Amino acid sequence: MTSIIVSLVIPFTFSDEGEYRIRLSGRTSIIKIEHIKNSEGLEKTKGIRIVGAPKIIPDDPSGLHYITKVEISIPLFPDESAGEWVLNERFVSYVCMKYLSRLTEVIRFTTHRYWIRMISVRDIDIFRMETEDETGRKPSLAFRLGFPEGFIFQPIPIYEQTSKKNLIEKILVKGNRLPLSENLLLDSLNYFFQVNFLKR
Amino acid sequence: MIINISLEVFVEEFLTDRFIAEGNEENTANQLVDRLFDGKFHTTIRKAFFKNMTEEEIKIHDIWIKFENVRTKRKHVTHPHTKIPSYNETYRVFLDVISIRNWILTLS
Repeated sequence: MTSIIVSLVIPFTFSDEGEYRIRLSGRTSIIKIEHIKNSEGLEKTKGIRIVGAPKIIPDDPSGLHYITKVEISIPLFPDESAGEWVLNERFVSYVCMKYLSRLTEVIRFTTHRYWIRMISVRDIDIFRMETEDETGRKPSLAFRLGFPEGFIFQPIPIYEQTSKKNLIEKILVKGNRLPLSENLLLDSLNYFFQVNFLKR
Repeated sequence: MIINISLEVFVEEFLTDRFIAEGNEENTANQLVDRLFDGKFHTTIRKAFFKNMTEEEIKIHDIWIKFENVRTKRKHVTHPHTKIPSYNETYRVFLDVISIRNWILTLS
């Protein structure tokens, strides 16, 4: 059987480390979760040195100390082509998001950790994809840095902050009130792209 | 849902600004807007932006069709037992709301 092995980073934590088998749409994938220490920025800001691997209790949902390294092994159905999967990174991101959301949802349900963040495609940074069959693993694509979704949102134009510098300063200095309709529009877009189907 | 509310608030803000630009005091402008919003949002839109059109003209108006789509999807969300909109249908609502907003802004 051929599998696609996807390695990715999520910029926060949402589960304990370990291996999880998750069944979705008739396909059982294996998810390996590892927490990677990420506190250099915090150490520099606070001027302290954190030694070892501090345990954040109950967890670290904002990624202040740790990020999550994930390896997902997705078995392919007999009629599926590995080549088509690895060429469609956006689709692979979506499938990974579905598995990780399922994991998050179940952990939240069982632990009552209501603050656990739902994972969206935007949170997924794939850095390696491989195929694996009876002959072993083969690298499929060399990877770039950054998020595949980027910040390309079609409904409204997105600006560089520098291009709005004068307007930002003017609003901040004058204390102007922002139109509620704009805030609501931006909220709904944010919910939509985080796949929060109840609020969008 | 929030996108629908954002459209209603946008129309309210737009009409308030327009009444003020016409020379009304802010309180008067607010009262005029309240009067327009006395009823369903559908009626408000019709009275504010389509009052000089016939029923037939309204029905085939591109923006009215988008508005109808936005309204239908809102009903689906508020009554989830009828139908849950798909990702693409919801994305279409965003595009329609943006088009409606842009069209309204051309009227100012």
